[in-house]
Amino acid sequence: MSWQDHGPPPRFAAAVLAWLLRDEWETPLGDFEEYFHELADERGVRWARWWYRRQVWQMLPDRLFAKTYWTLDMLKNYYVLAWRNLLKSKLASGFNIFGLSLAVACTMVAYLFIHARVDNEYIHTQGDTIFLVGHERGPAGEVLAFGSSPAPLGPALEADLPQVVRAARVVGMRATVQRGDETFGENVRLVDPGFMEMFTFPLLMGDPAALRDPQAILLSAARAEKYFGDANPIGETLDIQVGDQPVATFTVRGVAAKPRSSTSLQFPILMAYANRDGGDAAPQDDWAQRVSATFIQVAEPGAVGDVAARMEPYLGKYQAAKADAQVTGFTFDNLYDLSVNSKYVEDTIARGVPWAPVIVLSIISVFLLMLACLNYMNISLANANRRLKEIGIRKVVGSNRWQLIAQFLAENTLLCLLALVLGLGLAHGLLIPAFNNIAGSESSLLNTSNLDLVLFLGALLVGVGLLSGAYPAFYISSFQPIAVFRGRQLGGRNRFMQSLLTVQFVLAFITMIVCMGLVVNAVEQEKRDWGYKKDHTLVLQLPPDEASFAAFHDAAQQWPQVQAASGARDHLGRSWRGVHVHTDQPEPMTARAFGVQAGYLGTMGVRLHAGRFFEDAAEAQHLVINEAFARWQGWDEPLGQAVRIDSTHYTVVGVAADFHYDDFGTTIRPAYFYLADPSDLQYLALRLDAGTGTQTRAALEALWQQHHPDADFDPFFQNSVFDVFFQETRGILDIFLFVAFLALIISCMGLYGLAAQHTASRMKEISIRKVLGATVPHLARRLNQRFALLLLAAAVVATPLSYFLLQALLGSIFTYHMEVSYGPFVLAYVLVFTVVLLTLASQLRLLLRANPAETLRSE
Amino acid sequence: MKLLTRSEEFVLLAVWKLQTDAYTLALRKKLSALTGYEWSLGAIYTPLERLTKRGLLTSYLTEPTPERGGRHKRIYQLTDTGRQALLAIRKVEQAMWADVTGLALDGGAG
Repeated sequence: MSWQDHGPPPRFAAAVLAWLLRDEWETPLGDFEEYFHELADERGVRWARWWYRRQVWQMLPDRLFAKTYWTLDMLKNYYVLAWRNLLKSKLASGFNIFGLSLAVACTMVAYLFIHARVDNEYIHTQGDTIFLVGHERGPAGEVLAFGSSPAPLGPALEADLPQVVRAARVVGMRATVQRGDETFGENVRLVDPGFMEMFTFPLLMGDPAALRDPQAILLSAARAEKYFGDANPIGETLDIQVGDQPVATFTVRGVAAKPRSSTSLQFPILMAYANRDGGDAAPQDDWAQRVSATFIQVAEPGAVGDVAARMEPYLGKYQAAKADAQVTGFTFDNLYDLSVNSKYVEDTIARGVPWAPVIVLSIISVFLLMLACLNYMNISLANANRRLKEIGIRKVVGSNRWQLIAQFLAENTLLCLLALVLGLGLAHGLLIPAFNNIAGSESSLLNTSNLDLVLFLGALLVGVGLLSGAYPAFYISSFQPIAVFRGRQLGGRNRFMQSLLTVQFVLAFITMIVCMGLVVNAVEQEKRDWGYKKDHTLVLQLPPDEASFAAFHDAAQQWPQVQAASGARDHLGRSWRGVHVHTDQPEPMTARAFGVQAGYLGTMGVRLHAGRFFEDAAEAQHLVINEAFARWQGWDEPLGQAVRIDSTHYTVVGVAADFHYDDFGTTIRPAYFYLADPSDLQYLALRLDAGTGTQTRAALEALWQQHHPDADFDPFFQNSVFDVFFQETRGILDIFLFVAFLALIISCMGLYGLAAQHTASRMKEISIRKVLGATVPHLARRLNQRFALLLLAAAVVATPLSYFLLQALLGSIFTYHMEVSYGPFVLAYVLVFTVVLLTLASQLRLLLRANPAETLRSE
Repeated sequence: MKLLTRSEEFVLLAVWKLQTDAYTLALRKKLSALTGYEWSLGAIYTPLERLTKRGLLTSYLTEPTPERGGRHKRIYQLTDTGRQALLAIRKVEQAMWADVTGLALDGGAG
């Protein structure tokens, strides 16, 4: 038999042998194969194959042991050296890791903040199958989406369509809650029983199914505490007047835990929908009545298409009931999309996303992270200087380039992991509590236990590790051993490190300038003119009752401290109504209507732009418009213009200077004042002498007790109406200051690290200069000149960039914002240069203490 | 010169005997035939390696052949030192056996 008859020896075994024998495999493998054929001839192929395989497992244990042993030994060596290097440059590594972890912590906070705002509804686990049924209406070409829906729609869908698992309507109403002697104004939500099954609101105690009983209520944890303190509220009762219905007694049947996000469906008090319209016999078939929201839940997300295709009969009923509304169709929006889409939908239950802080925070955290990574790269590069010899030796001993790259990448990734863990600790222990404090939020690292966060963290780790480790790893491993040992300087590195530092400072400048700009803007917002006198004005909202209003008005006018008292139906900063006005233009225009008493404009201190204000109550045919009204109409001479509203004709007698009827987040649009019917007046505004606020409040309260002993007494000062808005801006201001501070610290850490390295590497030169008589200031100048130039270059590059960024940010976020001027720039430059000078000055100590004899003696 | 072990001696001698065909498998066959028991491949690699290290042997690679799966063969040759070593061994052997007579080794009696 010739050798071809047996076929080749076992392939797998041959491959294993080749691997085990490594470099010297060729000859023995040839021997084995030849011997295999020999054996096959002598004793048969099976024997030969068995023999061949036996060679493998005879060799395997020994070889494997050797391989693992040496690999482990190598790893141990890597580890030991990594640790020694870390300790050798404690300061630089400390800064490095700390900077990264700060950035990681900030990113975490930003992520949590954004996540909780953009994904308001993520807490609802069945959200992908829950849809809000809205509708669209309006004349052709002007169709708008609305979040509300006709009241009978939900039950009808649930009953008629098999695809709809359940439906739940939501209506919000004002209510007065009585507890003992006290009364409180509350917002209650009336919902169908399906609500608690659909949405994820874990109860602290009680029964979610209790809402089937119209006399049951569920409380939020905050309300349970407000009414019952620490006592168990289950089974307790509250007397509640819903809307203007008679007072009824409700039993607390459950307490809901505080939701982890600001979901649009949050409630202080939840009760059965049946309580709408008097508790019984709610008109089930009134398609003209609307609810704030109708949610349906389908078996699987795709089924909503089926539902949408079957809406024809309901649309018919709705159109018949609301003929004038021009309803064109129903819409279905997934729960998870509600917040993001809310700005395109009118009258929706969904909370909008506060885009301003979301955008700014994302931009800034990306900047911070980039900054920290650059910083990390820079310091790693600088540290690589000291490791040149190690690398040279490794290469000479037989390390190949990939082993070196793996070593450095692994080292950096480990450090990043360390930074990550540290950053998470920082975020959890320090930053998030601080941030919650500032922003008034309740984010926490621990209870956002979802996949998103895990993925985000993983991506962050890999990204940071590779980004900051890659360059040093690839760069350092390319060094030639011979060049290293001869001590030949490697060109280009310094230039690269300097450009990194420059980029880093450009980022730092931009962050600083933008943050300063936002801070300056926030300060200016607080000082911004409201368009009327906001101080020393006390406002009381009264029940719409002509007699009681007159009583309050008359009484208040008698008080000596009251300079002026006047009433209104709609009040600046509180309410207005959108009304169609017809003028000489072909199309009607929507304007904000304010029904007022004749003296109201004077009381509120609204400024006159042209013409006059109302003089007495007889001017029912006259209007006072704002500047925006005239502008939009294109009137050069607004006085005397004719305006028709519904069927009433008016003449414009005065133009008020533009004023902010809503906070600075909204644009000033056309608005007008008309004289309201006395029976509609519900706001009483009192202009007081300074310092008489409390006294007047007490007097008003006494009067209130006489007229409305059952109702909640809740007057407010006019300068507090935008408090929520200002609170938000103030919170944001604090955050920006904090971030600017961080950016500065991280950059200066990098600068310090580099400067220290720089000085250390030139210690011999410095010592010789010292011996020859150089002074410390001279040396300091020599050493730092380069850094100063670098900083100047960074400032020059950053200035136009941050100007445009600031301009764009302010423009996209704020409706009314400051003009971008030199203020924030000067502020940022002064801050950065001061801190940089301080950083560099710390080098002086090194210079002063350097003893030439000692430095020059070594080597 | 240090003395060689017995198997090194045998391998060295076998390399000399086989001349241009002195590669592992041929050596194994020769040695098995001469000594009367089966030599494993490993028992040949080790002495070959040691002898090469000591400079008694050199080797070169032949062209690849198909029956070896397209791999080279390593042919071993004696160096001068190797030849001297063989001569020295022969001298020692002869000296050792020179005055041994009539031991009746084959009979086992004495």
